[in-house]
Amino acid sequence: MYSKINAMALFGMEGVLIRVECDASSGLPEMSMVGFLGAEVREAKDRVRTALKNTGFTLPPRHVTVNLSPADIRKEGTSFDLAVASALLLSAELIDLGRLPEEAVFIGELGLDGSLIPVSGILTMVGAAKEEGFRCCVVPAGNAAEGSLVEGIDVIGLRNLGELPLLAEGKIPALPCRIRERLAEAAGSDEVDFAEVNGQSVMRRAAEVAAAGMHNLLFVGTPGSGKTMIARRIPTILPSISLEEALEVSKVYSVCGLLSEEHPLILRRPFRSPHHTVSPYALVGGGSKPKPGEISLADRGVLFLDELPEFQKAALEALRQPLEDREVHIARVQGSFRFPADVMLVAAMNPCRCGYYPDRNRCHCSDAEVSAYLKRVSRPLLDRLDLCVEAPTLRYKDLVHRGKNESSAEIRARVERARARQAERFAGSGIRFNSRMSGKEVRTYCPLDTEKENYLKRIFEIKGLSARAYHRILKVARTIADLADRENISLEDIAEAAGYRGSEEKFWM
Amino acid sequence: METRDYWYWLGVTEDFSASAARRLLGLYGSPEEIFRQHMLPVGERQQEALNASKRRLDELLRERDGFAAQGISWCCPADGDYPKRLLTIPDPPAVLFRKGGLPPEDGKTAAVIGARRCSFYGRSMAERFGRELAGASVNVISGMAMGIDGYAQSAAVAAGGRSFGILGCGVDQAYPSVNRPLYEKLCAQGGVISEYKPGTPPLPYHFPMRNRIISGLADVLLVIEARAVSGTRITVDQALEQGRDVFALPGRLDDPLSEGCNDLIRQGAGILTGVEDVLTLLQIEGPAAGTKGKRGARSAANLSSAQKNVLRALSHDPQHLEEIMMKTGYGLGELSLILLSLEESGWARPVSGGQYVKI
Repeated sequence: MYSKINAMALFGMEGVLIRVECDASSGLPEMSMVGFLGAEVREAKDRVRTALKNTGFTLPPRHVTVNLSPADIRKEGTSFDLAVASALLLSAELIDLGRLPEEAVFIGELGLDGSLIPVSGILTMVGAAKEEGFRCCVVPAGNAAEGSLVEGIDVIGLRNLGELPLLAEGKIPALPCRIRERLAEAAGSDEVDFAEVNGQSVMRRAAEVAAAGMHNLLFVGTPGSGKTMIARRIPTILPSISLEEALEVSKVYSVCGLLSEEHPLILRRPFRSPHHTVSPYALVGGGSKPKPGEISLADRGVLFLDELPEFQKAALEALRQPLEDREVHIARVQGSFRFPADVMLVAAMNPCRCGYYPDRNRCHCSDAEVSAYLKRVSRPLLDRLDLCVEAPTLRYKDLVHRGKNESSAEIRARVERARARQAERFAGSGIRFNSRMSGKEVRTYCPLDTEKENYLKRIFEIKGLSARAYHRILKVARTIADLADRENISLEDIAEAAGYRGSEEKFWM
Repeated sequence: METRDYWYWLGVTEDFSASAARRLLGLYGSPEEIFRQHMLPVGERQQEALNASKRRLDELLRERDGFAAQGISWCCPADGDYPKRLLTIPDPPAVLFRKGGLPPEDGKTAAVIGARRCSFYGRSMAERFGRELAGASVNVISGMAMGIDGYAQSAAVAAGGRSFGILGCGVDQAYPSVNRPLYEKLCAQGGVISEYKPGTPPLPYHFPMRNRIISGLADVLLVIEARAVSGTRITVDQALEQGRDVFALPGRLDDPLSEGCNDLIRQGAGILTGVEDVLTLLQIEGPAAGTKGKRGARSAANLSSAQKNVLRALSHDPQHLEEIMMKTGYGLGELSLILLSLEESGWARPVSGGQYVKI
């Protein structure tokens, strides 16, 4: 008898509907699997047969052909096991699934004992199933919590193959979708807080400005001056993650297999801090079967690169395109893949190899050495970092400071106000943040009167800035004005914004 | 061959030190006599070097004639334009190449020297003395090196004075390359001088040798910043051997960059408290008023109270914005505005991203 079961394959960040067809006919008892299969899919034959036997099903001795269609897409991964097993049982007429073969998608890997093993990418695949108009998804119990985050589709978790017959009888309930409750629970429960940072008012301020306008940020400073501490807390002052954002981010984690039964959803803005030995592919994504890299895992959050000059040149240069497009494009023979990469880049570095420049009593690096160290960061990458601040060396009295520091929640309130101003300003223009303004938009949204224009010109002369700095200073000044809830940019805003750039020409000799 | 040619031969012979030349001159009286000797009381290697340059003499002289086209001239002790000051030192160079001019005999000269990796305080002091000496028409001599040397000379030429850079390589090269702009200015507004033939690379052992020319050309030596053991100390030792006066800028006891200066003072060097100290020694009186007048023009009276507040919080050591904010109570925006105005009027300067010094 012929049977058909729906399954899902994962391609990059997209789920593709696969039909598993099975036909049992007379002939020598044999099972063959066709349909452009990868090695792990072909091995499903043995896994499924053994799992069925150990669950108590006895397949009649027939000639069985299993086809995964469309047959021109190469299928990889282990998520087809459940669909193959179900199709076999159906064609052998050992179970009755009612209308489920038409209405449901079956996803899951099998163990030899018949248990269902969680697979990665469930969120994406369930989402795709919903798009395709299916009513229900059958997934391993370990994936059910993750799958149930998709609204508008029933997700049923199975522990083992033995539960299959119960499905049609409706004896296994679908998990309720609790995404909104989970998000509400997580709001404001960050593990770190800006209240723990003593002093460092300049770096705190820069972090606030950067968060308000989604500007990329660079900290330069001596070792132990709190650069990492501040960067770690930036996600806590970004506006709370929205439902759509949480789903988008969770999908990336799902594809990478980083979601667990206990934590099926990314509830906070991510903070990713890859080590400086990271390869270009691990940073931006890649591989023969492309997977998202660190920049996609930091989507809608903060990608923190500590010790910036120590990163491989190739890895840093690979960041340039995603930072510009907010997306990673990877082209392969089997198609092109897109991963989200809407990040705020925060980088930290020492001013020289020993870390103490410009304190000449401690730093013995020659000017040439300092300049060589700084030059490891290329100019095009530097151009993408709107704010650059120098961290002061901490003294003991700052460490034991007893006063109350501003908490993340207070800063976040200001950031959210500035964001609201930006949302209003950019309504309908396709951009959301000041940092994303193009040259034309800068002219529209950051108008300067003659006095301010002249002042900016003077700053350029004093500081010897290049023309490239012009737009960046204006964008940052716009954000500073937004934070202060001002319609027009003031001289102070311009001076402060120029201060965040001042380092560049001095540091980068 | 003329006398000058013999001097030239002695001067450009490689691997033959000035002290060896001095000993031979003492024995034989003139380079011509030395040239005539087949065997000299020198080591095997030096004898071989002299023989080799004798064999290459025609080639050397032909090469020499090409230097004029590059704007390079040369002189030897037999020439009238050879600096008289150098004739008084124990081992004057046998040949002196230059681009630009030589320090005028009737003008005063002062050498400003110090550490390559200097502090920001050292930098502003070097610039101050360079500027004020130039204002008093004193020619500033130094090594055109990074740090104190370069800062003092740059300030001197920027103030319209004359300055002379003594190099440890041929005068056709600007070394270190970051000082190329200064090199160009020195060629126009003073000169670059070297005892090494054009084309000679800057080898490490050239520098202690060229230091004796720096002190030799100077009437007085100003040491701005020096570590306890440093090249600056070599120059000072040579200056003392040559009978030059030495001033040292006093510094704090825990500052390694002032250790050398304080030690010099302990040994009896003059204490540098202002350009007047130097001018008095050089018996210059009038022009000091000029520098005073310049300082008057920069009077703090024109500054707003906010600018004064910030200026009070600044020092010659780099201060981070954070500290300035704490001392003055200004917010970042306001402070940036004030600092920019101070930067514009030449009172303060950023030394890196977030740190400022008073000038």
